[in-house]
Amino acid sequence: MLNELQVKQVKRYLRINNIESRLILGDFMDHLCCMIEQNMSEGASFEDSLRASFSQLPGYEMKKIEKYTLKLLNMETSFSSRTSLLATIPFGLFGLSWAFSNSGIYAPKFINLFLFWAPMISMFVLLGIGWTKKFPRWSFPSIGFCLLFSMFLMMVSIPGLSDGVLGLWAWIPLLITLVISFIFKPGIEPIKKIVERIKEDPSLILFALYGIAPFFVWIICDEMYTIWMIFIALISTLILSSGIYLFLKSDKKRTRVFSMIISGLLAVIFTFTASIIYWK
Amino acid sequence: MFSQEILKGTIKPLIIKLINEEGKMYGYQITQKVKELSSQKIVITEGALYPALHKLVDEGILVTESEWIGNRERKYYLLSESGKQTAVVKLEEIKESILMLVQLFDLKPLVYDVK
Repeated sequence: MLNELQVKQVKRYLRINNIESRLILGDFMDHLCCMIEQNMSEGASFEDSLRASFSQLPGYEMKKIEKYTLKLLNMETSFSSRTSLLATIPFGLFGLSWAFSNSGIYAPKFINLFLFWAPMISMFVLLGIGWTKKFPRWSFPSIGFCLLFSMFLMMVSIPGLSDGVLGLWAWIPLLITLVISFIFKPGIEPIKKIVERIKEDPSLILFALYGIAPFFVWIICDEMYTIWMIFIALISTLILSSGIYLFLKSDKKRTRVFSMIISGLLAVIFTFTASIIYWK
Repeated sequence: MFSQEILKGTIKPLIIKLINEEGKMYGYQITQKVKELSSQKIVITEGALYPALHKLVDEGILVTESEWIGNRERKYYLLSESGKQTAVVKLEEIKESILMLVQLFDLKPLVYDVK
């Protein structure tokens, strides 16, 4: 039986090779220890057994198995460039909407209307698609957005639509989205999957909250009308989108969380600085 | 040694069969048991074993149970209550498929010889 120090060496090997899924980690840990113990029972030293086992089950092979298993379970942590880029579309729409509405550029009314509603609608659509596909990672920003946006709307009054603040009526768009999604995929399995995914990787809560980031930076620039807004919106959107892209593309948990926090902070600092300069 | 491609479709039923017989098993134990039963001719690689085990858990056929062995945790796989019923169906299914393949490949005399 391996002692504590020897088990730690195996654990370190798994960490170095970036095996991060809790589902797989325990299996590999025990498997490698068994291989080492088997070699040692045949007379080899711990060091030799360790080397032999690591060459029999190399790190890149384990990473491949981890990725394949997670894909099989619809629990992927990293996606193709195409999927990662597609996930940034709602953020791009926010940027476009922001750039047009605050830059003073004339656009026909229907374009203005489209640009105003498209980002919000795209997030609710993404939530619906996420539900039918049991909420893969790329749909998480839509969960955060739809919840927080509905909470925000509760405190908003829309002249002509409501006398006071919207209150509970603000949840109607989310409710409609959920009812439509439920028709396409009945049952509570998508909800269970969200819980399962968050248990496996709690940083997904942060990623869900990241969904409100483009709306938040837009709010920072509320009432600011200048042609420079095109530039500010473009840069902020690019920074925020790169956060989503890197979170979905990266293999490493640390890179994922780091890229999201940095891009979120950068976008807020950049927009906030721009607003201070504007109001001065 | 048999090609993994040929074994692909039989890995899940094989795991179910072994766990059904043993009660509960861990990953490494399954690979060793298969080696032993096939006189070293069939080697289930880790790349085939663990995805299949996790898929069976996801499908609700298997459940896991952890136990501390010395300084590490060991995950045992066992059949769930519903998995026990599925096991019978799956094993019957694979037996029928193998018999069909025996017929298709005209292996009857060979099977007879072995007997």
